[in-house]
Amino acid sequence: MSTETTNYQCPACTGPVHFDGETGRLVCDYCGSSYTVAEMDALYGEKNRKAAREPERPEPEEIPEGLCAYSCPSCGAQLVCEETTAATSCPYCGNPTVVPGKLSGSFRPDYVIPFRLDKEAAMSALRQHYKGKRLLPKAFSQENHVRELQGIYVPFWLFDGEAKGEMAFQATRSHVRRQGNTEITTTDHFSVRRGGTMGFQMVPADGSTKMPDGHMDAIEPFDYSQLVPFSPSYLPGFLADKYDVDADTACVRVKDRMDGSMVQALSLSAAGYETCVPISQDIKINTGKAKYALLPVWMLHTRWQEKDYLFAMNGQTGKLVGDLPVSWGRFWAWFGGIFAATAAVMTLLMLLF
Amino acid sequence: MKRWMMLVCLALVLVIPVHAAGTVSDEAGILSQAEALRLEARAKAIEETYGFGVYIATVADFSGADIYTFTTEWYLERNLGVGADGDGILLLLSMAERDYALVVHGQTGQALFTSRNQDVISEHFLDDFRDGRWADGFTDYLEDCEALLEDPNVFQDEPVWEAGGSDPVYESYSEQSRFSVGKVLVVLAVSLLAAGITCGAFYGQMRTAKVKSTANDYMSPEGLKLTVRQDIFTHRTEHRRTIDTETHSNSGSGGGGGTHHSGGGFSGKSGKF
Repeated sequence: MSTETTNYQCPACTGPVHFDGETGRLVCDYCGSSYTVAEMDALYGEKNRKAAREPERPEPEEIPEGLCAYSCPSCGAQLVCEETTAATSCPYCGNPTVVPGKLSGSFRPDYVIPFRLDKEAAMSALRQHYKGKRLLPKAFSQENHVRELQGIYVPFWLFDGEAKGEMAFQATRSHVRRQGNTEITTTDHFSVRRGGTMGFQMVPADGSTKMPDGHMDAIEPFDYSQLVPFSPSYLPGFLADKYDVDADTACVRVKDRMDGSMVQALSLSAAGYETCVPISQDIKINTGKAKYALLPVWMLHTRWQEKDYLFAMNGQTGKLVGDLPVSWGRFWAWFGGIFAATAAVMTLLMLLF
Repeated sequence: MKRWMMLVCLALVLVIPVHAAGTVSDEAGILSQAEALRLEARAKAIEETYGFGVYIATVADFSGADIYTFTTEWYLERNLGVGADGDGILLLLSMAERDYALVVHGQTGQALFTSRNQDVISEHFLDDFRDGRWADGFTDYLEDCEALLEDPNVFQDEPVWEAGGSDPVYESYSEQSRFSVGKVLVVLAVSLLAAGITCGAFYGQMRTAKVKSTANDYMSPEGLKLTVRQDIFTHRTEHRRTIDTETHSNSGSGGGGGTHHSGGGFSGKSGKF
């Protein structure tokens, strides 16, 4: 189904504009003019609302399922995107293109955290990520090149919630005394119970099947003090997806995480014992209505020796994560070296003392 | 003149080695007269040749806290030993509970009769004592003492059976106190652990994209509000373990069974035969 798209253009020169995280303004790529989000909203708000109300037209038959076709308002080229894509750029004229219809109605986000870090910061973070990795093959950082670098507003569900529950433990405390030739270990056994409540605020879970959960979890936390009400004017220059994982599905992951925190906190509260083994737990999680937000993520894709490596950087805080290849030759060299050095030092100490 | 004679006598008492007791004392009566005489002659010959006292004693039942203390007291009470340091070695058997103690006194003796050498010697005589061949056991003891006094490295290649082990452990005389299978295993284990932990940490640096199992970053500022806090004592259990008596500063298990002791001018080992 195709819908209307909007190109954000400079009111002065009609050149493409993009959101600049550093200044928090929309900047023209050609003349350098900059505009606040409010100014662009005023210019494009009505157009976006109209585009969102536009009835969907049937896709041409040649468009495969799961994809959508749009016409670029600037050059008229046909843009073929995934069904979930809400913001992209025209590959022909480079104009940032927003599909307001994809982010309207129930798909309209409540909040957005605007990008604060740019492409260069992402590249710099990736180079930094390679540093100090002793098991990284030398050739990896030299030979591999970033094939794709995209700033994406990833759909996230944010849940408030409360965990309430109890845990029971079997705990022991021992002391040893000596009586003549006999060592007597006395062990006191306790039945320990801990219960309580714990509140959570805006626990995130990504709402996109395209984004690996491990990457999205690992780039947390986001600074929610910079959450602002959603406006499409934050999107030009970046990709944006609407969610394809609904709130109920995402909630399962969030509940698991809240449960994990509750178990951890209750276990820590049962302190003062030598052993403390959990024997039962009864924890209930209540979550409120989920908020829907777009959060900024830089995705970097590299390829080395026929294998893909994906990195994600928090577009707000700069935290970068991603698995790196391991040189097993280096691994065993380090293992052998440390083993030999430790053994040598210990042998020397034994000889000396 | 009388006073001068008395001073000479006093000087002789202080300088000349004292042998207040014989080298073999068989209070338990387990040796025949001929065996006792033969052992006595051999022990005296060793003492004269090497200037080091070698003693044998048997008692029906020792009295006191433990056999090792009893033996050291026996040694001191009878002024055993040669020279100002009282160098000597005493093997005492108590027949009632089949206890034995081997004690070494003096710096020369302790340098020579190391824990390992004590283990070798005790293994030799315990074989005989276990079968009731008392004279053979004491003969082995005297022969080993003489051999060691003749050549400090004589037991260098002698295997020692670790307590509870199934294989003998060969050790170098000069390195005996420094290396053992246990120590080698400790070195290997610690080195493997150090290498494993470090390389594990290196590997962990390569894997940073992980699904989170907690939501600690999003806990409300007040954290956990505890509403139930119950600690109920249910019962008490007691575990008893018999430990080796230690009357001296150090002890440890030795080859062929028994416990090593040191301190108070003595070193040695004790156990059952």
